[in-house]
Amino acid sequence: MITLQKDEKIQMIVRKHWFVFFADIISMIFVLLVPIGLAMVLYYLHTYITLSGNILALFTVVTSLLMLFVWLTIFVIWTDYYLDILILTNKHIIDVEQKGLFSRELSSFRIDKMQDVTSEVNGIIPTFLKFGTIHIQTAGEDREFIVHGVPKPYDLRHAITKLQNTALEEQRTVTVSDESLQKMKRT
Amino acid sequence: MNESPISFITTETFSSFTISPTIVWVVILVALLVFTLMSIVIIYHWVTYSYSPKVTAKAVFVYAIGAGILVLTTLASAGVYTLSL
Repeated sequence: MITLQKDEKIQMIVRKHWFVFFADIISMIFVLLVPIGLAMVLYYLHTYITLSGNILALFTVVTSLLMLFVWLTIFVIWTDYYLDILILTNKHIIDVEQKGLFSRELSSFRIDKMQDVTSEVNGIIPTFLKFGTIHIQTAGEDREFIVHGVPKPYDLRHAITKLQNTALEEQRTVTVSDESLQKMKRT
Repeated sequence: MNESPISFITTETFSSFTISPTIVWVVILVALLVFTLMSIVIIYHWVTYSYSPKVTAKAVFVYAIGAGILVLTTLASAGVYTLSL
């Protein structure tokens, strides 16, 4: 679970573009072609091999079991897509990455420690559907956060920069007011 | 006496065979066991890490409906196949 600080507020939740989910799902269409292939093989071999019993029922057993696992795989892919998010708060950027069902990575860093944000859109489909990759470089460490398949990466970069400016501005205001308080105490 | 041993192996020898209903039921049982375990893991993820209970409820509902239809189809077909032998 993600816990926020007392005065921390969620500004934006970014989920990956729907095409990322769709691209993973599309491979399942090829699996759905297996029963058709099986039916064709049985049809061409029926002069040589005859299976006794209700063949249609047996074929339905194989097909429905296959469909059951396709159904399961679709939901595994959806879980991966649904739980992968980027949370922008007024203080932190939190990246939650679900890798399959048994691996989950949660990384966060302070927005005022951010050094550089780069967004890129590569390819025909990402250009038309407006999604791409965002790179966030943090200060102090040589760590770079890369989030793929983000919708409208240029807008997101703009939003992150704006949030950082606001955070830095708030920090400056707090520092200035602290200094003026100390000056007042001295006088 | 002159009959070649190869002549015993004709297409008719392999023409008809039966897939035992026991094998069919064992395969179904193993597949359903794996499916149930994987479903528990998925639902655990939805319940534990989901950001919205509404989405979790919808996902569980859609998943259960689809899975229920497919499991019932499998069991009914296996029953029909067993009775047809």
